[in-house]
Amino acid sequence: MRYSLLIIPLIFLACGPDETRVDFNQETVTGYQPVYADSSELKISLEAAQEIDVAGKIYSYQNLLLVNEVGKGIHVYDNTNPRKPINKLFVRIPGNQDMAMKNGVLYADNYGDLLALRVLADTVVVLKRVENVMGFNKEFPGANGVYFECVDESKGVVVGWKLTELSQPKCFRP
Amino acid sequence: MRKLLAIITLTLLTFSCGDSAGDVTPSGYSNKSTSSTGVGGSTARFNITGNFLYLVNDSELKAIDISNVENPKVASTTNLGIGIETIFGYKNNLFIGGQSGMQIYGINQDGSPSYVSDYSHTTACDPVIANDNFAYVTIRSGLTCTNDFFDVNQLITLDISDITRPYDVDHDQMINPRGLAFFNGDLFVGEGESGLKRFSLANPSNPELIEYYDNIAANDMIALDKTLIITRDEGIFQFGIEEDSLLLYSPLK
Repeated sequence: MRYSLLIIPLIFLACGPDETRVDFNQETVTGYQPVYADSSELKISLEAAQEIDVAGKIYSYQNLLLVNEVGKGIHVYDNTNPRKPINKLFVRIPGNQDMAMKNGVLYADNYGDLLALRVLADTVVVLKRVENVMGFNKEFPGANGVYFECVDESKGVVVGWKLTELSQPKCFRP
Repeated sequence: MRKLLAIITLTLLTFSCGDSAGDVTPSGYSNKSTSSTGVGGSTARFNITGNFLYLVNDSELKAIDISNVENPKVASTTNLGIGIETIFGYKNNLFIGGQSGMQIYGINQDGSPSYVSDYSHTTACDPVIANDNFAYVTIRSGLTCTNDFFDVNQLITLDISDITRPYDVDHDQMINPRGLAFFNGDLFVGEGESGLKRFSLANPSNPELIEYYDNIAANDMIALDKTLIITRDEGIFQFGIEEDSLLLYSPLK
């Protein structure tokens, strides 16, 4: 009886290495698939004012009020008079969720990257792109010990990872 | 001797710079925007303090040097564990909310963050705001949180007068709490579709519910001097305060 208590942990230990062995010939296995976007979908641009569809985060800077359109960009309002805010323009930033401003420079996330932007009257200038800071990587999924469909750059830019059933994936992140 | 004096003077100067940098923290108790930076809601992942943009992703705190605003550079990365959701800056501390608790990081002279303390609770979502002596955290169970087993919907008051040892002094049962803000001397807490609650902080260790606006749906909010900007699923609504009552100024469309 006493011995059986010892045997159980040993069995678990013995199973361990087998389960973590990478097998690229499985018919189907749960893993991550890249979500692609083509470069036209990734364009950052200044557009005419648009109505809010799905309101995300907000940011107040001087007389401006910024409203995130979840995953799409930022509505810019002139909020000089909070009784009569004026919808001025829309900055299209695919994958955007958050923002902040300092000395006129707008910081916004663009999927996994951070952008420093300057919004001018008729255009938006990307001053700097800081890659892979938002905890998302274009080369492999965030989780460890997972299979994933290898990235094929001819399909576009990776903008996300979807957990799904994969057939014979050829990539694994230890 | 002169050298020593110079060193002492330099040290003092450095300290006083540090302090004044703390005073201009945008999202502090007064919620005043300064001329150079702005203010976000309590569920923000971005915070600007001094010459740094601090951002949290799901598992890390990144300190990004923006001393040249046009040329941000990653200065440091700190691992926080998974499920990180919000960051709030007050003076020289960063209050980080995640699915397993609140963590406090101090900001060093060079802008790098270092661990100070944490407060753990059952798994739930949690934005946090703070002033000199107290931090207010909301936790909720729900679809977007990972907690399925316990019904935890609370406003928790933490005593942080010793920043290295936060401890809970009050728990208020809530419906589905989300963002929160200090406005007009009171504490406002969004209850999602269930409305907006206003607590008196006359006794800051024991917030007292003084008004429940069940017709004002509220997720997150920003408090300016005289305007409370509220987000809800279908848009943004701004309220003013006149004779101590909330007055709808404008919906944003």
